[in-house]
Amino acid sequence: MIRWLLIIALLLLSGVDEANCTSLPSDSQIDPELLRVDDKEYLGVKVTEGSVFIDSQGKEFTWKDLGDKPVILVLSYYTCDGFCPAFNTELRSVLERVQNLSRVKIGDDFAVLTLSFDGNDDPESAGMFREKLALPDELEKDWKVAVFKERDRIKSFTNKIGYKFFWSPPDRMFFHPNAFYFITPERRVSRILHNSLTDASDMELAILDAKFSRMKPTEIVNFAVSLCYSYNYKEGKYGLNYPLFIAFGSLFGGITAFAVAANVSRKKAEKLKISRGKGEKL
Amino acid sequence: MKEWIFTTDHKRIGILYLVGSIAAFAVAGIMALLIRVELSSLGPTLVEDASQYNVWLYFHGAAMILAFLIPGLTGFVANYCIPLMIGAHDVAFPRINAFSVWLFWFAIVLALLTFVIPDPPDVLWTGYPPYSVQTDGNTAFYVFTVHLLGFSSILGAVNFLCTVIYMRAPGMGWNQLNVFVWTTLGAFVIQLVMIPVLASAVTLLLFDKYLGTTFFNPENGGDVLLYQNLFWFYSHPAVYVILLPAVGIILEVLATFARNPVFNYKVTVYGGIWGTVLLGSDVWAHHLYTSGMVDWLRIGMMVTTLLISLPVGLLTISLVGTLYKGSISFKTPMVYATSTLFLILLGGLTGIPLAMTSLTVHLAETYFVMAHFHYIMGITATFAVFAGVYYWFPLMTGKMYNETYSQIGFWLNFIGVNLTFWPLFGIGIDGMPRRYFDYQMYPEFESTQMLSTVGAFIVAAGMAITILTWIHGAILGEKAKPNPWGSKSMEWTHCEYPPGPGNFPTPPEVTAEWSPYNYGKHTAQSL
Repeated sequence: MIRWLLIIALLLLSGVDEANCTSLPSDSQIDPELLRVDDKEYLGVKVTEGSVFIDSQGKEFTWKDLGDKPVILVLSYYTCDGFCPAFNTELRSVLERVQNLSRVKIGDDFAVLTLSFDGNDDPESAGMFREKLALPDELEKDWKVAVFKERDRIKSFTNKIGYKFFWSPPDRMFFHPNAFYFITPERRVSRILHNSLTDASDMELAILDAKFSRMKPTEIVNFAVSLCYSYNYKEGKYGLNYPLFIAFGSLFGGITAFAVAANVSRKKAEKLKISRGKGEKL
Repeated sequence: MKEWIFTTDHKRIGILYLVGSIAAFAVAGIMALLIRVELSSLGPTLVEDASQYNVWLYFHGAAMILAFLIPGLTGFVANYCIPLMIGAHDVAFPRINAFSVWLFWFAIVLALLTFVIPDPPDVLWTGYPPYSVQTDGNTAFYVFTVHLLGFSSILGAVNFLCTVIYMRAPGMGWNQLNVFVWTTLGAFVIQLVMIPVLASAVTLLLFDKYLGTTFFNPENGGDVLLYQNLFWFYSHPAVYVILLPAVGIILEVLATFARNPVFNYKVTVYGGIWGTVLLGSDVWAHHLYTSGMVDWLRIGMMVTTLLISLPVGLLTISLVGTLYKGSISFKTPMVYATSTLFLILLGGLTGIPLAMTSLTVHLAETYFVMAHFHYIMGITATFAVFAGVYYWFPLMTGKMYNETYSQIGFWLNFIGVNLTFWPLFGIGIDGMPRRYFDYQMYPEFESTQMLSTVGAFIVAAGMAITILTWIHGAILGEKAKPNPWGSKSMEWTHCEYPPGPGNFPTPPEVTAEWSPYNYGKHTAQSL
């Protein structure tokens, strides 16, 4: 029974699309859409309310201490022996690939915050969770695993960003969505990626989106890359922004027409010059 | 009739542009009156249905800009005057020119069909998605009208750039060109480079609405803001496509009626005109200040928008300087031309607060913006077209218009437009939003709206008198004396009245001393 539930939970939590949902057992009572975060409703929401956290070393911090940069927020619970560690581990490996792409760097361009929504978690369980993650050196410094300082603020925080979860007593586990929240330097939600198997380039583009308002003129390449892609809410991934390329291409349409016409005119004018006699002097 | 339909003569094509654009102007003007009547009192006045109001707004905006101002300036005046001013027997590609004017006429017919089809377009002149994709209105009409007018403009641009580059009279140097020719070249460069971008944007819009693509639908990976960027990438420079030739016409009129050369010719041309063309392509995002963008881009666009006051300032100095110590006579073309000094100043100065990112947060989408662009673009350019029609009227028709009625028409127009738009700055600052069908939440603005409506009817009377003076003058006017204004420009000094096929009895040739502004004082070259 537990095994079946775990499989169902994994499917639910991985933000499965409709096709995958149909592979749920027909007797399933849970509608996966209930747990999915509605992007349209929660993009732009400010997340700073009641936000004092304690990290795995027992230090208090706030959003401000995470620096003037975007934050990838992952809500988890630390006694989870199934999906939460797997989800965070997946994030770790995606971020390692993002680091290799070298357009954005953790610490310089963004930070990561894994935050527990379980009121029973404490810095100690956070520490154990962090240990299991086995973060590499380049990610370790700017990836915090933390809990809320005031437990009674958890619900208002998660409600505000549309994160629904519930405890299932018979299964002794939380059902919760599987989502990476991208928080801007102004601490607003700029993107929610639902797919656990997120592509490194999608992750990078979501970070660039979160950073968009703070991009400096020196980051012109990042700015251009960010413009070249747009997010597909239905598929939960980024795709090329085709109209931009079409518009760029069309810029040359008029110029090409002029170049051809100018060539024809020049030849006509030369012929005319030869055949034209002297005209009236003004 | 057949001669007019199959004509390739640039002068006839110019007149065809004039007739078409005035027709569009008249219908768009009627739409403006309907809009003003609707707004004259609180609650529904003429119609109950707000979407009908949107149709009026659509036609008024699209027709005034795309079918009157741009074709009126770059179609009519450029066609009629440029070959005559540069000593060419015709344009570089006469058949393409004829094709271009019929594309324009087809677009006018298509636009007028708005009033007979069951679901007319109601997408304003901007056609922003998602509304334009979701509406029941026929967005295809909007898109095809833009396509036809855009294609017509590109063909015109290619044609006139080639004409001026390769068909100037022998000996005519670049610094001997009329300022109007320069301003139009600037406008054509903008048209040539930027219209294809607008055309591609509206084409993708068409695909989104009718073929189910999602180029501008964020739900499926599209970028809705990109449409706004692409639209304004052309449509803000379109302001300069209108303003530059308008300034060119005004300078021609001022120089002739003040008996002065154009002030600061080289600075005006290379700084004013080409500065506007260069900077004009880097300011579009100020239309999107409140739509969201990177801070540095917002500030950058604020700086470029403010910087554009420099070349426009140079043009304004040239306008005023041309009058300096002039021997001025206030005939109808001149009163229209001098009045634009006031209009440009008012429109230009009210643009400065709109360039500021912080002030725009308050002023965006209010009547302040609407009053500003009507002054700087709508009224100034319309008055310039009128100045041009009156100025070249004896040349085009060989007859004179009635001076008294023309002056009456001018004063009604001038008083009317100021009564219509001046008060709107005030209620705009107080927060009256533009494009609203009704304003029950702002009853305090009702009296101002009524005043503005009265102004609009005065304008309507003035416009009617103006157009009647043209029709009367063309049919029953006295025969014009050769070169009645005593201009030194080639279209006046070396053509018959009106000019026949081939333009010049003998092909003109120009000496290094020749200038179109040689009024016995310093010449263009010496400045």
